[in-house]
Amino acid sequence: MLQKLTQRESVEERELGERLAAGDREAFRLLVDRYQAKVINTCYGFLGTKEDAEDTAQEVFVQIFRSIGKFRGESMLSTWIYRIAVTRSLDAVRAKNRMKRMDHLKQLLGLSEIMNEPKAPDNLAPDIQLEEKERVDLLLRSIETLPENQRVAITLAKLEGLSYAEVADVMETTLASVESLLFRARKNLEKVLSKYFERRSVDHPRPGTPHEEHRRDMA
Amino acid sequence: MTTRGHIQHEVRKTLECLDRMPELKGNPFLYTRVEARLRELAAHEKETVGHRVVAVLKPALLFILVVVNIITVARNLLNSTDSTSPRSTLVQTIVQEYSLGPDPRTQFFTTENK
Repeated sequence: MLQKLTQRESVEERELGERLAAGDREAFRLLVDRYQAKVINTCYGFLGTKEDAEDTAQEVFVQIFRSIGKFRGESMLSTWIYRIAVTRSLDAVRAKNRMKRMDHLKQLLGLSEIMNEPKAPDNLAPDIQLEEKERVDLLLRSIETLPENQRVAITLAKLEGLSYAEVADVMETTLASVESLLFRARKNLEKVLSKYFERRSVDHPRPGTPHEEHRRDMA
Repeated sequence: MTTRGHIQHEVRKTLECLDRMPELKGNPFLYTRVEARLRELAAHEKETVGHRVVAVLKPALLFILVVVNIITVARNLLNSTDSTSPRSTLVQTIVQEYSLGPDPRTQFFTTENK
């Protein structure tokens, strides 16, 4: 979780930024070591797999190195890094979606074999609670369905633990806007999850429920 | 618990995961990967610059060659038809100086002998 930087940490960050701008390779190494976990976790929030998150994190640091000259010090170095991480993650998400659409089109045209996409774990017995891991997977997949700006806000605030003010800095928007985005994101997630669990309760009714009795009668 | 209540319970439990998301650890090899990628990009850019230079030079050289050829041909054509060219004038001067032109007296003799 990102804590509010102390004054000393802010000075250290500024010095690191200056050394980077001067082309100090050692400073770049220090930057990668210090921020890689945050960047990987931010990317993971968007992409959902460790491999994709690390691939995108690699591109984030490459971009940081090549564009450090553009960093004017108007924002914190960490804010700038988060912005690049978010932008790159969204680019990767869009590229993934394009690939999926192409694959789908190829399947329709018979140009490729049907690819089985990993499904939600709905083969569990209805009375067994979802394991934590499955809940996390389900949550990440639900976040994928959100509009982009809501997705960014919830990923930074909830998955990365940034304060609302920090999220507003990264997204270059107002605090009120961030609060609104988070409120709407939560409502949308509730809707998506409700639909998912409703479908599950129809397909795998719990014992004693009307759905389950109906299925028993039909069998 | 009713089905509706169960659904709400599951939704709430799932949303609570937002506050307990697992944190991935960093990768000790990430810096090495980043360095390798930077080297790859630098090599690719050098190659691209080289290709671009060749792509611009080739047609430029070809153009220059064609223009030089045209100029040479044009000058040759002009020189062969122009009697007031420096070459023509020089030739005429030499002919007059050494009386190399057709001599009326020799012409008389050559025609008489026939």
